[in-house]
Amino acid sequence: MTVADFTMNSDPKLRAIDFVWHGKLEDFNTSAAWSPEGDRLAVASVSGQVAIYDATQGRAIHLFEQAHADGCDALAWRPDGKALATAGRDGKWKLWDVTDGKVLAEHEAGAMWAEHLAWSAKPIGDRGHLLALGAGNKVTLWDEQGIAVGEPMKVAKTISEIAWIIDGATLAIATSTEVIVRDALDNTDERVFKSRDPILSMAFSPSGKWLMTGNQDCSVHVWNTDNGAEMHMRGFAAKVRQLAWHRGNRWLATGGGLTISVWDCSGNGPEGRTPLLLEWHPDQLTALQYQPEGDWLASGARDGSIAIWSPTQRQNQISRAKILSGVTRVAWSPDGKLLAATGESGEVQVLAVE
Amino acid sequence: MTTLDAGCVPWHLDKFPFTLDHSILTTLMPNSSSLIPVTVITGFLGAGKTTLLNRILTEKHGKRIAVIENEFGEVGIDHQLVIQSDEEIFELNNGCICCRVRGDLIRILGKLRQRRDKFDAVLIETTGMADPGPVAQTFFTDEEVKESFKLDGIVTVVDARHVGLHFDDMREVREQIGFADVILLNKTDLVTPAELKTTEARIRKMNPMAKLYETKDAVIDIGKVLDVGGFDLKRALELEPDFLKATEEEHDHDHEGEGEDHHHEHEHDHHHAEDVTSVGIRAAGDLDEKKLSDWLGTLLRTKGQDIFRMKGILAVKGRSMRFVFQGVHMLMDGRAGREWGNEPRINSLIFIGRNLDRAELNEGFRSCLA
Repeated sequence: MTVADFTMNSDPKLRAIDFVWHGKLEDFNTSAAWSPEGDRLAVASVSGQVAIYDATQGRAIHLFEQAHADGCDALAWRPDGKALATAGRDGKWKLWDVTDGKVLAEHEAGAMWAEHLAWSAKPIGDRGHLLALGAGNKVTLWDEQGIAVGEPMKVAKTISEIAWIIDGATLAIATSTEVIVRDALDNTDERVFKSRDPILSMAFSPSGKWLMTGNQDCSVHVWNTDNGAEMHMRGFAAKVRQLAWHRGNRWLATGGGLTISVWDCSGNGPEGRTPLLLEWHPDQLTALQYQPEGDWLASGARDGSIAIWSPTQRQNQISRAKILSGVTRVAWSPDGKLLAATGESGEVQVLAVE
Repeated sequence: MTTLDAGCVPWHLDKFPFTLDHSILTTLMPNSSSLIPVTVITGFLGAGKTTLLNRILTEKHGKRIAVIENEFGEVGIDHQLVIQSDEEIFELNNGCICCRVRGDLIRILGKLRQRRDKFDAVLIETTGMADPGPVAQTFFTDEEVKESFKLDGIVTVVDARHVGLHFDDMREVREQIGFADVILLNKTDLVTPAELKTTEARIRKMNPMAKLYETKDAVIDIGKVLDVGGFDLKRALELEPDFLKATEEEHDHDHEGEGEDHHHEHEHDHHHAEDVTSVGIRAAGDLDEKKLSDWLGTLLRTKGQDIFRMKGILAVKGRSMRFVFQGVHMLMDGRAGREWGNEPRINSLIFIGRNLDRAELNEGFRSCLA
């Protein structure tokens, strides 16, 4: 069995791809996440399966067949790498011990679908790292043992994304109309960024200076959080779901159609600047991610095509590959040496660029 | 302002001016049977939407149906795929009424799409106050939704006993009737035959195009509410006899009052302010392609906000085939249809909407005659 097309990469200008290993779940893969140490890859599927693979060999260390009835939508490794949080369409979230595969905690999320999970990058107060869970219009916080912290926070509309900002205790919650930024524990320091364009996705620059949203009306909205200045980038070919920041805070890559746009956000930001355009994918982009510690950008599209770019280089396409169904996620390992791509039919392909 | 191109043009008007050489003028709906059909059930609170929904779900039809119900929905959770949604309007292009879509449906359908082999059809139950416009527009404008789903029909359940009151007070009730492909006049056992007749006449005046069924406890053959092809141009031709009958009736009714429009309106309206009406046009004669394109383009641009639904079968000069079209607000889909052959080349059109100007529509149409 194979999940990838090995003939894609015949152009001599491109680097060879090593198809390191592959796996297969039963249906559309919704999420993929490398463990903090990079020794494990977790993948979730709408089949309800969650698999934890060994990073180098691809052996399935655990396969939780019915982790979430009706599908698992979100995965997040506890920062110590010893437990994995999952959330799904059964309205629940679970914390799994990845050593013995046992469920450490299991809770109702408070809505029909539990869709968003994020661990704080740093311990907060004396509670250790906190997990933020978004379900419907509620955000709840949980500690490392899966015990509830504080009261649920309710927002006006269904949550489209949640994220912790920089290393602090600040949480950003995006709905279709606004991004709410607040202290997770005491609900203070609230800042609200209102958007007239319906928000689908959100990303803060690593420094926290820039807030970007990708929108239903084929636009990207930008806020300079230092001075409140706002900008709009319009005219994308499709709605914008993919936003990827380069670690250096300068470059933001956006999807929205067939073309990747890479915006220079140095100085006063991208307004008035022409983006670098990366054109190759023959179908709609579905996934974008920069290497955590490097300069390469990975992209995936509905036809299964995968590309690796070094956007500011003259010969900006580094390599390419293809899996057998549409790409749903791309994820770089923490050291940037391995790239995982997941597919609409359950494919899991791990690649390395030689 | 940084842009990648000239900016955002409402895409649905960019097909004008059109020519019939592109027999499929727009692709509002990809023409594929692999798309999952979606039926929208609207109706005022207490009309019987949930009764109908439960009836469809419990009947043995072999279909696996996913249900998206409003936040007050009462479909038993023992049914496998029930998703509750908070109706959320996405306003695009500065809140233009024709660019409003349902964000909650985009989100939920996007997730359902990922497991499309698990179900065969989708039912959406709206709240009593819902505007069907954004629901319908979601299926014609959102690229991801269009790729996997097709809007099959809008079914409006009407409470025969109370609708008389709601006609006048509730804009939503009139809109839901105007948008419908199928109307169930429910709870007929609770009214007299005379009351029923009056109610039917008022509904017919607003929407002569929809199939109207009298029901008790929402008892209906589900084949009459599912798979109705309300937005399917191929089906529009199958349904041609019904459609012609509707335009004919509407047209005759129009003729009665010709030359004395005011009296006519008074006779029929009594003291009701019927803002939702229909205008049917039926006339022999070939149309000029260019003029037709200009007229429809201008009409949609200027009056699209008030047009809920429109359908037409037209004879275009120099064309041996019928031109069929249908639309919702500013969105229009048109294509070449069956050969006219020896049949009389008669144009039939119907517009359903708010505050339609009958004289202006007729005049506009006549200006397109070659």
